[in-house]
Amino acid sequence: MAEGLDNAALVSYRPAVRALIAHVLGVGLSHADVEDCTSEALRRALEGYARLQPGAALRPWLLGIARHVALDARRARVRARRRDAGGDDADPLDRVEAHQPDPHEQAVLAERTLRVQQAFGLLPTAQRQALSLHAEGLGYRAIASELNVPIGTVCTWIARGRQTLARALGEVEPTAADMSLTNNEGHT
Amino acid sequence: MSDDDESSMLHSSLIWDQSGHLSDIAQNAIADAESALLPREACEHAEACEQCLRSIGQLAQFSLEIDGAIKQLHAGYLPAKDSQRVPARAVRHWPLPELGLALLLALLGQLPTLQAFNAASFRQTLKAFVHVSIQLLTHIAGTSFGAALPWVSATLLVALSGSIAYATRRGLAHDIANHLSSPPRG
Repeated sequence: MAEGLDNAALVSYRPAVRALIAHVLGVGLSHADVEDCTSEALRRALEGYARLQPGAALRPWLLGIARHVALDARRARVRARRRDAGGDDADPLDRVEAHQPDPHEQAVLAERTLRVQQAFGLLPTAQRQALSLHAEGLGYRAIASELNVPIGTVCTWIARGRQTLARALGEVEPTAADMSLTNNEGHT
Repeated sequence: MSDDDESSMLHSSLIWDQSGHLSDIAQNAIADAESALLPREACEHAEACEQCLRSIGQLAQFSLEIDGAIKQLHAGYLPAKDSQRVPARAVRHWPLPELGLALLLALLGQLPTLQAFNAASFRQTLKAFVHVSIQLLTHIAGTSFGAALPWVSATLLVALSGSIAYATRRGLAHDIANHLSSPPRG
């Protein structure tokens, strides 16, 4: 991936980073922690960009940093709340920074990954190809060029593919918008 | 699918939903840092709208999860890149045509001895060979090595079944890889 991390790239990533952080923290956009964590994640990304392996995809790396920063902030908030509640006698292990999920979380994640992979295998070929190329780090324009289709088609394939995968995990109920999208598939 | 060719941006019908919020297509684009495909109003809306940004956050998180699952799947199933691919001849374990040719030559070399072939003598030799083989096997079965034979055969069976499972998995992997690399329908 030849994409660099300049100001323009940061501007394009900022909404996604901010949204992801607000989602992980479970707070609104106006919450002070969201801005703090966004700035911290972008700062870490700028500092660590030189260490990113050549050819590695920028997006998962950057969003991974954002998620990491948000999770740290969330844990710090939980610890502070316990302290305020007089929980000094809390389990000392809670004070240890835990960057890895516990065994139960790992089992749940593995199960989810398996279900995503199974549902992915059932997607139409076009959606699977678009999502595969995106997972490899290609942007929408590069995918459109690779598959020789208009960029809007790529956007639709990716959105629809993710919607189907989310539904397979029971995270999204089919909506009227989904139905109209499916009905219009032939026109895209 | 219609595109605005002049600006290379998505058509507005793909960007907004009926309630005036960003469509899931636009939300995915922002979650994937593809906001260059959207007009300024859409980006401004994403910055200000709590509902849309919450969806974008969920999508960003979910897309990371999907990308990881897909990469994992490809790492296990997709064939190596062209530069890493081993030529088919290099991975062929048994040079069957060459062995066949050698056996044929050996057979041809033995043809002159056929005129001196004595059926009765051949039967006698075969009988003696079978007799000695049975004696030898009985002797081996009586030794400590003979006692270990069931374990050796069980190990061989496990190794054989493992090889079959591996070969089957590789065949399945190639099927999946071919399926994934086939051109899109329509």
